[in-house]
Amino acid sequence: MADILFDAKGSVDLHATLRALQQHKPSVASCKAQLRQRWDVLQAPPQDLAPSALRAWKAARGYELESILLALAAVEGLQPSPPFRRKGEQIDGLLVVDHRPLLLEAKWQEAAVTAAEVFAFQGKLRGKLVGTLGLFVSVGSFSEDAPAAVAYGKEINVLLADCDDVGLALDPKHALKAVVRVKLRQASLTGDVYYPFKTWLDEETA
Amino acid sequence: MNEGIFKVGFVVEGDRDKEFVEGLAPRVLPSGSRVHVVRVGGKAALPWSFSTVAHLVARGYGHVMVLADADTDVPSEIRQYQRRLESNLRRFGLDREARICLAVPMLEAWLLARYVDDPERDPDPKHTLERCLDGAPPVIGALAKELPLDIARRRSKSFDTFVQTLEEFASPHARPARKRRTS
Repeated sequence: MADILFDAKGSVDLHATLRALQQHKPSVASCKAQLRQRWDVLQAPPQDLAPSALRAWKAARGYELESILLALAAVEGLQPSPPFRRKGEQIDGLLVVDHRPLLLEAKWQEAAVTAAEVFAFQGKLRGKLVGTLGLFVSVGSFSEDAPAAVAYGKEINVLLADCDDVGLALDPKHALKAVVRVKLRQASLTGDVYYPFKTWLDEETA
Repeated sequence: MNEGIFKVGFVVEGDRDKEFVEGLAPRVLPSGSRVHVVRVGGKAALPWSFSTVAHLVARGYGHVMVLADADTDVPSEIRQYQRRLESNLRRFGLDREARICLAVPMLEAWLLARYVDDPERDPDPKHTLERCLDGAPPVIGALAKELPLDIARRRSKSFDTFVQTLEEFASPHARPARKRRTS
């Protein structure tokens, strides 16, 4: 059975994890528990960090959010591709849900993600095969106008997910693919690109 | 289909709003009423709350309240925001079942009404409430259960509107919305 692998600093080692998960069947429950534990640790910075060290820690946390999501995708069999970063254009991470490819953008910042940032991500989708969707995950939430700006009068190709969605995807009772499926369905039904998984859970118990 | 049970749905922004409604609504609604709260995930999601309202109506909730923070105490801005949310409901024919209620400037001001005379004018109700609680983080549900309704209604106009709306829902003269055909 394969587990999540961590580097010397305790961060998710995405490439090593993906290799391990390709070679051995994952223990889903154990892997999710490890990722959830790491997610919980990242909620608060270590104490007494100097300002420059704190900035570096927060920047690293943003990248690790992507690793956590793609590792979770691997555990669930969603065929993730890790991001490829060099000088020049970056190749983004990707996952596949029900044969639908979704490019992943993950941000962990204190300020709410603006419509402009989501538009910039949509720009990346234009050069890809038609039908490629985007999944924009923001732990710091979205500005009030972002969902409407993305949806109204435009071709909708991006879903938005927030901190609660990630937490629920890591919950042993739920799954990332369920979160994405619920969002896909609602976006198709009403044009709502943000529909939180928590809302669906609340509606289902009515 | 639980025909005899009086059911009221609430659409709110997040967790603290849910705790507030679950603590306070049973104090105003008839005993035995069924209250169900759906969190839509913040202000950014509110324009799409019509689909949650429709869902609740289809599940037999004859009355639905959409409760949100106004995030302002400027009357013209409050009215504009209220009209925008109402227009979404009207577009889908849901304005008969659902009402919009805005907390001015935010829900914490309603809980603050227990302690100060003019909570709607407080520029930072969250912090003022914490100070009134000697720095302890507010337990919203417990505070809602203990909020003196008459005093809070007198001190906060938006809270008075909220309670009045619930009383109207519960009025014996209020007719639940006609059942919508789903097939």
